Amino acid sequence: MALLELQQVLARLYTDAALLEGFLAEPQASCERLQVSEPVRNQLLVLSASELRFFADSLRQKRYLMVCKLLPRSKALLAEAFKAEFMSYAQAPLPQGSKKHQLDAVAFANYLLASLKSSEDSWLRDQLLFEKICLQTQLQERGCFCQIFRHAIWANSSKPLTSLGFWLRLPGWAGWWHLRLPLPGS
Amino acid sequence: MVAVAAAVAVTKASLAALPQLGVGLGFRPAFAAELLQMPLEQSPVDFLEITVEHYLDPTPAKRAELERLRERFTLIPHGLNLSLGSAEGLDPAYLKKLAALIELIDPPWWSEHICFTRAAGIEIGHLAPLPFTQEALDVLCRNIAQVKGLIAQPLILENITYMLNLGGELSEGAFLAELLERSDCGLLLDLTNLHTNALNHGYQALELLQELPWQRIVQLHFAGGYFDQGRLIDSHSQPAPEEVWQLMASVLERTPVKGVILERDEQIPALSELRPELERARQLCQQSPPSRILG
Repeated sequence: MALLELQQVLARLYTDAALLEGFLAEPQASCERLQVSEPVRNQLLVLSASELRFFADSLRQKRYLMVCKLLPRSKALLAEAFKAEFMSYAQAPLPQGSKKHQLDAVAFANYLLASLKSSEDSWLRDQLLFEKICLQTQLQERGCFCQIFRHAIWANSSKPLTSLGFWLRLPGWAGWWHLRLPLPGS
Repeated sequence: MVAVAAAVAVTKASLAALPQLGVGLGFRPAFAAELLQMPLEQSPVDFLEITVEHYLDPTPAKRAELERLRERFTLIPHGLNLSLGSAEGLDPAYLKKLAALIELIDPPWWSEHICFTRAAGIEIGHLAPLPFTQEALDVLCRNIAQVKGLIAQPLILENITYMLNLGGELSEGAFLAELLERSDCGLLLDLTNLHTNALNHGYQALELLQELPWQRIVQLHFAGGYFDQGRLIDSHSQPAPEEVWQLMASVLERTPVKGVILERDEQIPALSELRPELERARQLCQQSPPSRILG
């Protein structure tokens, strides 16, 4: 029973940066707030603070490296800001399941998209939307996505070029059907 | 007691009778083109280890990739997220998919880690250590027994690296040894993990090796990492350091193993750049004593 409770508390400390910092600052008080039993409290209080922090940081770093691989264009465009934004976003828990990293990358793309202002960053917006849809087509076995892009996204170029991207997969289809259509004015 | 001892002896014999697979590679998509197109006689690998999670809910492309790999190589499924050490038990949906995948591949054995990866509905995202306690052993053995009830192919267990030492009434070596005997599993000995833990936690890797049941070592892993803030990080991003090669030689001098896998997850080079490491591992394997049936 002690192991069950210990794992539940550790899982929270590993993945919730604010909770971890509170625990490291005031371990006794944190255990009381978390209503930890005495045997588990005794196990927690002897843990190395530096090892605990290092492990929690390494988890976020691993999560970050996975997202870098899944959103390579957006990462290249945002450069150093990509990591800072990710560490801010990573307060949210890692999604569950065998495709958790793809889901994490989609959620991070949404997080970045929500922070963009409409009149600027249109090239970054295109990149995020494009990479997000590509990931979603890996996650879903059916669906439809339709998106207007303002730049030559298919050539990975920021040159202005308006186009429509359309992805469709119906039940029973082996893969996604995909259409790219230049629009007037481009 | 006589019946238990006989059963253990039978399992050790069946571990020794597993096929000799040689030297292989942890499959990553970056290697796919070369591995699938190269004439087999020129291939530097004898078998591949595949990550279970990549094929549990496969896209059509991943399904096709798995089929093409199966046509060319013996595949060893390697799980990351079964969470054998979870006190709350195993995820039945995950276990069902895993069993179906292993039945499809029908490998000579498969592997998972000695760790937990989820608790209280939280996905930790990586392999988290267990305390070296009897309670953790009980949990592992209970979960492993459940897995064995569903999956017939032999399970071998891998030692992990741990940044955080959770302590316990057992030594790490005694914990691993008792786990292998009680669960009746083989060992996937990750030499880099052993070296990393020894360096980060201040013990001698060779001394821990002495505590392990040698006859249960089925497979080896090796890789290289980097140092960060004075700690060695098991990043699978570099060639294996000399200390890992010495550990490999020590193990192979004493016991034959059924397979050796090179792992590379970051800074993945062309396959040709990994040939020297694969060849060195092959030479060490050839100097190992011949496999024998243990009774």
